[in-house]
Amino acid sequence: MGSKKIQAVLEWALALVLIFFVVKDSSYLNYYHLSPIKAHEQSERTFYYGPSEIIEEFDFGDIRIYLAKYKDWFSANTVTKYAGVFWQPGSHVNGFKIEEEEDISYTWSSSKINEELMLMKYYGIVTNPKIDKVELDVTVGYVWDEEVPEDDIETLSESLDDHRMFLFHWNENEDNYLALALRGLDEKGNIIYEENLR
Amino acid sequence: MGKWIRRIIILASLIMLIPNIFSFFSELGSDIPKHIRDEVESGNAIVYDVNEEVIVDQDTINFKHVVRTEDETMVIYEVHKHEPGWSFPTGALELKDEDGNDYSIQGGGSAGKPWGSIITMGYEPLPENVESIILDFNWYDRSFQLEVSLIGEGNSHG
Repeated sequence: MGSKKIQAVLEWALALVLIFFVVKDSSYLNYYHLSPIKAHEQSERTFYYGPSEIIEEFDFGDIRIYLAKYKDWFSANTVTKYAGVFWQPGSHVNGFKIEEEEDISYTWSSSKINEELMLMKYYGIVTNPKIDKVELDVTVGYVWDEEVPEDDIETLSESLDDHRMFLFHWNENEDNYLALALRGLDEKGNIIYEENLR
Repeated sequence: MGKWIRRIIILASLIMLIPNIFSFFSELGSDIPKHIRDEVESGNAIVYDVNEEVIVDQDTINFKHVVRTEDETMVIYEVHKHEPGWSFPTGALELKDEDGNDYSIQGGGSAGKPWGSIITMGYEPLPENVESIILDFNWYDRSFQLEVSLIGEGNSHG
Protein backbone atom coordinates (compact mmCIF):
# COMPACT_ATOMS: atom_id res chain seq x y z
CA MET A 1 0.00 0.00 0.00
CA GLY A 2 1.45 3.35 -1.00
CA SER A 3 1.83 6.16 1.49
CA LYS A 4 -0.92 8.10 -0.28
CA LYS A 5 -3.32 5.21 0.32
CA ILE A 6 -2.37 4.96 3.98
CA GLN A 7 -2.97 8.67 4.37
CA ALA A 8 -6.37 8.32 2.71
CA VAL A 9 -7.36 5.47 5.03
CA LEU A 10 -6.23 7.40 8.09
CA GLU A 11 -8.10 10.51 7.04
CA TRP A 12 -11.28 8.54 6.43
CA ALA A 13 -10.88 6.91 9.85
CA LEU A 14 -10.48 10.32 11.47
CA ALA A 15 -13.50 11.62 9.57
CA LEU A 16 -15.63 8.71 10.82
CA VAL A 17 -14.48 9.11 14.42
CA LEU A 18 -15.33 12.82 14.29
CA ILE A 19 -18.74 12.15 12.74
CA PHE A 20 -19.39 9.70 15.55
CA PHE A 21 -18.70 12.39 18.18
CA VAL A 22 -20.73 14.99 16.34
CA VAL A 23 -23.73 12.67 16.22
CA LYS A 24 -23.26 11.44 19.80
CA ASP A 25 -22.99 14.94 21.25
CA SER A 26 -25.52 16.59 19.02
CA SER A 27 -28.13 18.15 21.25
CA TYR A 28 -30.30 18.37 18.18
CA LEU A 29 -30.38 14.63 17.60
CA ASN A 30 -30.58 13.90 21.32
CA TYR A 31 -33.45 16.27 21.95
CA TYR A 32 -35.80 15.82 19.02
CA HIS A 33 -37.53 12.54 18.43
CA LEU A 34 -39.46 10.96 15.62
CA SER A 35 -42.11 9.63 17.98
CA PRO A 36 -44.08 11.70 20.51
CA ILE A 37 -43.90 9.00 23.16
CA LYS A 38 -40.09 9.12 23.05
CA ALA A 39 -40.22 12.87 23.67
CA HIS A 40 -42.60 12.29 26.58
CA GLU A 41 -40.33 9.66 28.09
CA GLN A 42 -37.25 11.83 27.74
CA SER A 43 -39.08 14.73 29.30
CA GLU A 44 -39.87 12.64 32.38
CA ARG A 45 -36.41 11.07 32.53
CA THR A 46 -34.58 14.39 32.49
CA PHE A 47 -37.05 15.81 35.01
CA TYR A 48 -36.26 12.91 37.39
CA TYR A 49 -39.89 11.84 37.42
CA GLY A 50 -41.62 8.64 36.48
CA PRO A 51 -41.65 6.62 34.30
CA SER A 52 -45.34 7.19 34.68
CA GLU A 53 -48.12 4.91 33.64
CA ILE A 54 -49.90 6.49 30.70
CA ILE A 55 -53.62 6.44 31.32
CA GLU A 56 -54.73 8.14 28.16
CA GLU A 57 -53.10 9.80 25.17
CA PHE A 58 -54.77 12.80 23.56
CA ASP A 59 -53.84 13.46 19.96
CA PHE A 60 -54.34 17.03 18.78
CA GLY A 61 -52.22 16.94 15.66
CA ASP A 62 -49.20 19.00 16.57
CA ILE A 63 -49.48 18.25 20.28
CA ARG A 64 -49.98 15.18 22.40
CA ILE A 65 -51.08 15.16 25.99
CA TYR A 66 -50.25 12.20 28.18
CA LEU A 67 -52.58 11.86 31.09
CA ALA A 68 -50.56 9.74 33.45
CA LYS A 69 -50.06 8.47 36.97
CA TYR A 70 -46.88 7.74 38.85
CA LYS A 71 -47.04 6.44 42.43
CA ASP A 72 -48.73 9.25 44.42
CA TRP A 73 -48.74 11.79 41.61
CA PHE A 74 -50.73 12.59 38.50
CA SER A 75 -49.66 14.58 35.46
CA ALA A 76 -50.65 15.72 31.98
CA ASN A 77 -47.36 16.09 30.17
CA THR A 78 -47.51 17.77 26.80
CA VAL A 79 -45.15 17.24 23.90
CA THR A 80 -45.16 19.31 20.73
CA LYS A 81 -44.24 18.79 17.12
CA TYR A 82 -41.13 20.48 15.84
CA ALA A 83 -40.15 21.22 12.24
CA GLY A 84 -42.96 19.06 10.90
CA VAL A 85 -41.43 15.68 11.70
CA PHE A 86 -39.80 15.84 15.13
CA TRP A 87 -41.30 15.81 18.61
CA GLN A 88 -39.93 17.76 21.53
CA PRO A 89 -40.66 17.94 25.25
CA GLY A 90 -43.31 20.56 25.98
CA SER A 91 -44.70 21.63 29.30
CA HIS A 92 -46.11 20.38 32.58
CA VAL A 93 -44.20 17.18 32.93
CA ASN A 94 -44.39 17.66 36.70
CA GLY A 95 -46.63 15.46 38.78
CA PHE A 96 -49.08 16.74 41.38
CA LYS A 97 -49.79 14.92 44.59
CA ILE A 98 -52.90 12.76 44.71
CA GLU A 99 -54.59 13.91 47.93
CA GLU A 100 -56.23 10.74 49.21
CA GLU A 101 -58.29 12.61 51.81
CA GLU A 102 -59.74 14.91 49.14
CA ASP A 103 -62.48 13.66 46.83
CA ILE A 104 -60.78 15.12 43.78
CA SER A 105 -57.19 16.21 43.27
CA TYR A 106 -56.90 18.63 40.40
CA THR A 107 -54.77 21.33 38.87
CA TRP A 108 -54.78 23.51 35.79
CA SER A 109 -52.19 24.90 33.46
CA SER A 110 -52.12 27.05 30.40
CA SER A 111 -49.37 27.18 27.83
CA LYS A 112 -48.81 28.90 24.55
CA ILE A 113 -48.12 26.23 21.93
CA ASN A 114 -48.06 28.58 18.92
CA GLU A 115 -49.72 31.76 17.65
CA GLU A 116 -53.06 30.02 17.16
CA LEU A 117 -53.09 27.75 20.15
CA MET A 118 -53.13 28.71 23.79
CA LEU A 119 -53.79 25.38 25.43
CA MET A 120 -55.65 25.28 28.72
CA LYS A 121 -55.75 22.02 30.65
CA TYR A 122 -57.90 21.35 33.69
CA TYR A 123 -57.06 17.88 34.91
CA GLY A 124 -57.05 15.65 37.91
CA ILE A 125 -57.89 12.38 39.53
CA VAL A 126 -60.91 11.32 41.56
CA THR A 127 -60.35 9.37 44.77
CA ASN A 128 -63.90 9.25 46.09
CA PRO A 129 -65.33 6.00 44.64
CA LYS A 130 -68.91 7.35 44.75
CA ILE A 131 -68.12 9.98 42.13
CA ASP A 132 -69.07 8.85 38.65
CA LYS A 133 -68.92 12.05 36.65
CA VAL A 134 -66.95 15.29 36.81
CA GLU A 135 -68.36 18.61 35.65
CA LEU A 136 -66.65 21.92 35.06
CA ASP A 137 -68.68 25.13 34.89
CA VAL A 138 -67.21 27.75 32.59
CA THR A 139 -68.29 31.09 31.18
CA VAL A 140 -67.10 33.63 28.63
CA GLY A 141 -67.05 37.41 28.88
CA TYR A 142 -67.03 37.83 32.64
CA VAL A 143 -64.21 38.99 34.84
CA TRP A 144 -62.87 37.21 37.85
CA ASP A 145 -65.26 38.36 40.59
CA GLU A 146 -68.30 39.24 38.50
CA GLU A 147 -71.66 37.58 39.19
CA VAL A 148 -72.51 35.21 36.31
CA PRO A 149 -76.21 34.56 35.53
CA GLU A 150 -77.20 30.89 35.23
CA ASP A 151 -77.93 31.23 31.50
CA ASP A 152 -74.36 32.20 30.72
CA ILE A 153 -72.83 29.20 32.42
CA GLU A 154 -71.69 26.35 30.22
CA THR A 155 -71.07 22.98 31.80
CA LEU A 156 -68.37 20.68 30.46
CA SER A 157 -68.75 17.13 31.59
CA GLU A 158 -66.73 13.95 31.66
CA SER A 159 -67.75 10.47 32.73
CA LEU A 160 -65.06 8.64 34.63
CA ASP A 161 -63.40 5.43 33.53
CA ASP A 162 -61.76 2.90 35.80
CA HIS A 163 -58.60 4.97 35.85
CA ARG A 164 -60.53 7.82 37.51
CA MET A 165 -58.65 10.58 35.73
CA PHE A 166 -60.14 13.45 33.78
CA LEU A 167 -58.96 16.21 31.47
CA PHE A 168 -60.84 19.26 30.26
CA HIS A 169 -59.04 21.23 27.62
CA TRP A 170 -59.68 24.14 25.31
CA ASN A 171 -57.94 26.69 23.17
CA GLU A 172 -58.02 29.99 25.00
CA ASN A 173 -57.66 31.84 21.71
CA GLU A 174 -61.00 30.36 20.61
CA ASP A 175 -62.83 29.87 23.90
CA ASN A 176 -61.64 32.26 26.51
CA TYR A 177 -63.35 30.37 29.29
CA LEU A 178 -63.30 31.41 32.89
CA ALA A 179 -63.60 28.32 35.09
CA LEU A 180 -66.23 28.77 37.79
CA ALA A 181 -66.77 25.49 39.60
CA LEU A 182 -65.67 21.88 39.62
CA ARG A 183 -68.20 19.23 40.63
CA GLY A 184 -68.23 15.53 41.30
CA LEU A 185 -71.54 13.69 40.85
CA ASP A 186 -72.64 10.18 41.72
CA GLU A 187 -74.44 7.94 39.21
CA LYS A 188 -77.82 9.37 40.20
CA GLY A 189 -76.60 12.90 39.53
CA ASN A 190 -76.33 13.97 43.16
CA ILE A 191 -73.57 16.44 43.88
CA ILE A 192 -70.94 14.78 46.06
CA TYR A 193 -68.24 17.37 45.69
CA GLU A 194 -68.24 21.00 44.65
CA GLU A 195 -65.36 23.41 44.57
CA ASN A 196 -65.66 27.07 43.75
CA LEU A 197 -62.77 27.91 41.46
CA ARG A 198 -62.97 31.65 41.83
CA MET B 1 -12.33 14.10 -5.15
CA GLY B 2 -12.46 11.67 -2.20
CA LYS B 3 -9.59 13.57 -0.65
CA TRP B 4 -11.64 16.76 -0.49
CA ILE B 5 -14.78 15.05 0.73
CA ARG B 6 -13.05 13.53 3.71
CA ARG B 7 -11.18 16.73 4.50
CA ILE B 8 -14.37 18.76 4.39
CA ILE B 9 -15.98 16.22 6.73
CA ILE B 10 -13.03 16.49 9.14
CA LEU B 11 -13.09 20.27 9.06
CA ALA B 12 -16.88 20.54 9.43
CA SER B 13 -16.87 18.04 12.33
CA LEU B 14 -14.09 19.91 14.09
CA ILE B 15 -16.00 23.16 13.78
CA MET B 16 -19.11 21.53 15.25
CA LEU B 17 -17.04 20.11 18.09
CA ILE B 18 -15.41 23.44 18.98
CA PRO B 19 -17.58 23.92 22.10
CA ASN B 20 -16.63 20.46 23.36
CA ILE B 21 -12.93 20.93 22.67
CA PHE B 22 -12.98 24.35 24.26
CA SER B 23 -14.77 23.16 27.38
CA PHE B 24 -12.41 20.20 27.71
CA PHE B 25 -9.46 22.55 28.06
CA SER B 26 -11.22 25.11 30.21
CA GLU B 27 -12.08 22.27 32.63
CA LEU B 28 -8.44 22.13 33.52
CA GLY B 29 -8.71 25.57 35.13
CA SER B 30 -10.41 26.36 38.40
CA ASP B 31 -14.15 25.86 38.81
CA ILE B 32 -14.45 28.41 41.58
CA PRO B 33 -15.65 31.81 40.34
CA LYS B 34 -13.03 34.55 40.33
CA HIS B 35 -14.75 36.76 42.90
CA ILE B 36 -14.83 33.90 45.40
CA ARG B 37 -11.15 33.16 44.83
CA ASP B 38 -10.45 36.81 45.65
CA GLU B 39 -12.49 36.48 48.83
CA VAL B 40 -10.51 33.39 49.78
CA GLU B 41 -7.24 35.17 49.20
CA SER B 42 -8.25 38.09 51.35
CA GLY B 43 -9.29 35.68 54.09
CA ASN B 44 -13.03 36.39 53.94
CA ALA B 45 -14.03 32.97 52.68
CA ILE B 46 -13.09 29.40 53.46
CA VAL B 47 -13.23 26.76 50.75
CA TYR B 48 -13.88 23.13 51.63
CA ASP B 49 -13.33 20.58 48.92
CA VAL B 50 -16.09 18.02 48.71
CA ASN B 51 -15.42 15.91 45.61
CA GLU B 52 -18.33 13.56 46.13
CA GLU B 53 -20.36 12.05 43.35
CA VAL B 54 -24.06 11.27 43.53
CA ILE B 55 -26.11 9.59 40.81
CA VAL B 56 -29.62 10.89 40.21
CA ASP B 57 -31.36 8.76 37.62
CA GLN B 58 -29.05 8.77 34.61
CA ASP B 59 -27.17 11.94 35.59
CA THR B 60 -24.12 12.44 37.76
CA ILE B 61 -24.00 15.23 40.31
CA ASN B 62 -20.46 16.15 41.25
CA PHE B 63 -20.21 18.13 44.45
CA LYS B 64 -17.03 20.18 44.22
CA HIS B 65 -16.83 22.74 47.00
CA VAL B 66 -18.58 24.36 49.90
CA VAL B 67 -17.52 27.96 50.42
CA ARG B 68 -18.24 29.55 53.74
CA THR B 69 -18.39 33.31 54.20
CA GLU B 70 -20.02 35.64 56.69
CA ASP B 71 -22.85 36.39 54.28
CA GLU B 72 -23.56 33.04 52.73
CA THR B 73 -22.70 29.41 52.26
CA MET B 74 -22.04 28.51 48.67
CA VAL B 75 -22.41 25.01 47.33
CA ILE B 76 -20.69 24.45 44.01
CA TYR B 77 -21.61 21.37 42.00
CA GLU B 78 -21.60 20.08 38.48
CA VAL B 79 -24.53 18.32 36.89
CA HIS B 80 -23.38 15.97 34.16
CA LYS B 81 -26.40 15.27 32.01
CA HIS B 82 -26.74 12.06 30.12
CA GLU B 83 -29.11 13.68 27.63
CA PRO B 84 -30.53 17.16 27.07
CA GLY B 85 -33.73 18.09 28.84
CA TRP B 86 -34.90 19.83 31.99
CA SER B 87 -32.39 21.60 34.16
CA PHE B 88 -31.50 20.33 37.60
CA PRO B 89 -34.10 21.23 40.26
CA THR B 90 -31.75 23.28 42.42
CA GLY B 91 -34.54 24.25 44.80
CA ALA B 92 -34.94 20.60 45.83
CA LEU B 93 -31.45 20.56 47.34
CA GLU B 94 -31.70 21.77 50.91
CA LEU B 95 -28.90 22.64 53.26
CA LYS B 96 -29.21 21.50 56.85
CA ASP B 97 -26.91 21.24 59.84
CA GLU B 98 -26.53 18.32 62.25
CA ASP B 99 -29.32 19.68 64.43
CA GLY B 100 -31.75 19.74 61.52
CA ASN B 101 -31.75 23.52 61.07
CA ASP B 102 -32.62 24.61 57.56
CA TYR B 103 -30.67 27.23 55.66
CA SER B 104 -32.68 28.59 52.79
CA ILE B 105 -31.48 29.52 49.35
CA GLN B 106 -30.60 33.18 48.86
CA GLY B 107 -29.68 32.99 45.23
CA GLY B 108 -27.65 31.14 42.74
CA GLY B 109 -26.64 30.71 39.20
CA SER B 110 -25.71 28.12 36.71
CA ALA B 111 -23.36 28.08 33.77
CA GLY B 112 -24.24 25.85 30.85
CA LYS B 113 -21.64 23.40 29.56
CA PRO B 114 -21.81 20.97 26.67
CA TRP B 115 -22.11 18.14 29.22
CA GLY B 116 -24.54 19.86 31.58
CA SER B 117 -24.00 22.75 33.94
CA ILE B 118 -21.98 24.12 36.84
CA ILE B 119 -24.26 25.32 39.58
CA THR B 120 -23.38 27.75 42.35
CA MET B 121 -26.09 28.01 44.97
CA GLY B 122 -25.91 30.46 47.84
CA TYR B 123 -27.59 29.49 51.10
CA GLU B 124 -27.97 31.45 54.34
CA PRO B 125 -24.73 31.78 56.29
CA LEU B 126 -23.89 29.11 58.85
CA PRO B 127 -23.33 29.92 62.51
CA GLU B 128 -19.68 29.57 63.48
CA ASN B 129 -20.18 26.48 65.59
CA VAL B 130 -21.55 24.36 62.74
CA GLU B 131 -18.93 21.80 61.77
CA SER B 132 -20.85 19.62 59.41
CA ILE B 133 -23.69 20.10 56.97
CA ILE B 134 -26.09 17.81 55.19
CA LEU B 135 -27.08 18.40 51.60
CA ASP B 136 -30.57 16.98 51.48
CA PHE B 137 -32.20 16.35 48.11
CA ASN B 138 -35.88 15.47 47.91
CA TRP B 139 -37.65 15.35 44.59
CA TYR B 140 -40.70 13.16 44.10
CA ASP B 141 -39.45 9.69 45.03
CA ARG B 142 -35.82 10.58 44.42
CA SER B 143 -33.68 11.59 47.35
CA PHE B 144 -30.16 11.60 48.70
CA GLN B 145 -28.33 12.98 51.69
CA LEU B 146 -24.70 13.97 51.60
CA GLU B 147 -22.84 14.91 54.73
CA VAL B 148 -19.99 17.38 54.35
CA SER B 149 -17.54 17.99 57.14
CA LEU B 150 -16.48 21.60 57.59
CA ILE B 151 -13.74 21.07 60.12
CA GLY B 152 -10.43 22.87 59.84
CA GLU B 153 -9.23 25.75 57.84
CA GLY B 154 -10.44 24.47 54.52
CA ASN B 155 -8.37 24.83 51.43
CA SER B 156 -6.66 28.08 50.75
CA HIS B 157 -6.43 27.46 47.03
CA GLY B 158 -9.02 28.64 44.61
